[in-house]
Amino acid sequence: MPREALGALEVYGFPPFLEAADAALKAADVVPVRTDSAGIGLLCLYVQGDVGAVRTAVEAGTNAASRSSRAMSMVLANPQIGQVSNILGTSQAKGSGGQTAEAQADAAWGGSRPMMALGSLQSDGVLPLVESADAMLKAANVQLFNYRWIGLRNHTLCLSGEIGDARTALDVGVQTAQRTSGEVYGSLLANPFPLLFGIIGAEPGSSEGSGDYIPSLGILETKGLAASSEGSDAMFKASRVKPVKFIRAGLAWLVTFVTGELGSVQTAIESGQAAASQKGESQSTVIPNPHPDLLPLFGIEAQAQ
Amino acid sequence: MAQANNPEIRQGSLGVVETLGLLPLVESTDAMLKAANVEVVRWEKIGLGWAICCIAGNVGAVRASVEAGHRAADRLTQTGVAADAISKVLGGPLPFPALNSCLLANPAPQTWDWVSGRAPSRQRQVSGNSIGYVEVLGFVSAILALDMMLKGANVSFSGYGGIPPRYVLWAQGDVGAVRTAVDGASAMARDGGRFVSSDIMARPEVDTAETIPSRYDISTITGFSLALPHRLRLSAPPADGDTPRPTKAEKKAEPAEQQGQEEG
Repeated sequence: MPREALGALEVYGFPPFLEAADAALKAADVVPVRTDSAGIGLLCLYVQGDVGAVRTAVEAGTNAASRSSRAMSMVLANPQIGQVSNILGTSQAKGSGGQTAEAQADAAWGGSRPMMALGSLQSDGVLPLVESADAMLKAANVQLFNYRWIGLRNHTLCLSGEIGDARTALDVGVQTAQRTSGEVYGSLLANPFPLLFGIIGAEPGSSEGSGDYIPSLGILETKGLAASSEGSDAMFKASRVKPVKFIRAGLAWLVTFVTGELGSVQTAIESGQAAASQKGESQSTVIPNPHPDLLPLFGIEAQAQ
Repeated sequence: MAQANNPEIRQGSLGVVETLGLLPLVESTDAMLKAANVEVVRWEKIGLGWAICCIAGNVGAVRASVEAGHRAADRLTQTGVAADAISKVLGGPLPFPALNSCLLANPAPQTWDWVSGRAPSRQRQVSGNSIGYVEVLGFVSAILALDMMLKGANVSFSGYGGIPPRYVLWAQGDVGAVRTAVDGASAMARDGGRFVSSDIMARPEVDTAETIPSRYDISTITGFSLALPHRLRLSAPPADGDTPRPTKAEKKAEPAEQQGQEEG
């Protein structure tokens, strides 16, 4: 009887998690059944299969992730499968019994799997990630998608494209993020296991730019509501900018996005940063002429001005 | 998250295992179910990386089960992946273990209600106009504190707040009873290093009393809710059933009337 064992991997950080998931799924014939998150940057992948396969898979995954991050794994060789699966929500994968992972992938992609590299980037806070997303989009022909907050101050996104493009973009992205972020993780999978796109719950091409002209984008990231209010107030009084997005970025950090002409945004951000830094930690940046695909990635609906 | 709540179970003993990170709890859950004849009444991520598994059954089964679960989780919590993530935020090592468990051999009815995630079926009304709270870290500490409060003195549990895994439990009753309850619960939490704060308000101003949760607030069980007291008031207490929520004026009038009746 197949799928008698349940294995799980828990990895700190999204890029190491992708590496681990890829390694685990390639190492043995196991079926990914669910992902979960503990909410502090830890991501969890559950797989089912024969006990030997599951053991091989989670070990391969742990080894892959341990190169850049921390990971742990476990195998339940003969779990109380009904009860544990019900609790974990991992029972639905049983329907596709008998199929190998390859066959499932072929079915999911209609037999024509894209041969694209899959990369991901993680930073402390939103600001470094927006800066590097813009740099990546401008550096090479890649698509960015699946911006997520995974707990604490960890923000992540995925990129895909031809391997050369993806490598160039990721290098630029990591360098950019390292200027302002304490901790940066980046990973690149040259030939990702096809089911990975299903695991991360998103596919490239889901965020297309509207093509609207956005003069420039200002970002003010502050710790605490007091600093955020003071900063925003100063920004809107300093010059004519438009607030377009407000994000709760985890651990009391709050992010305000504004758009406007370059000079206005610069003035606003300078004043906002000065006011906010009196109340608490803050950081800010101005992105002149952002790439059109940048704003939809972060859920910003900008209108032509 | 699949809910394994079984509202029918209300008797016997309760066991809880609480871990930092999901994997230790998965392993623990399996071990608990294999160890003895127990049923999982709640399995939930409570916030900031902590997750709980509550089991019910007869006292011997629950004891064996919790011990097995604690041992199983111990191996994985010692790898410290989750503790590392949290200690980056704290700027130092975790001040208490990433694993906690407890056994309540004969829990109070309101403890049952809280653990199984439901509104209380019977709310014991206690006279007295003092309130007090204890704030603790972790679900295990919280239910131990609650059980201690309810059994140690003649008080009623009037609600809770806090951002999990930090819980604030409110008790109401005579000032002496509230003091006993809060002190007992605080002492218990201090033993495990999971005590945060406590306070007692004898005869609070009506406006002050209004800002604390007046009933059992179920919205804080499942979701992430702000600790701001006025936020807790926003959700209608489920115990009211279909009756419309009182307006602010009516609400203010109520406590005054109750006070009058008690004095008379």
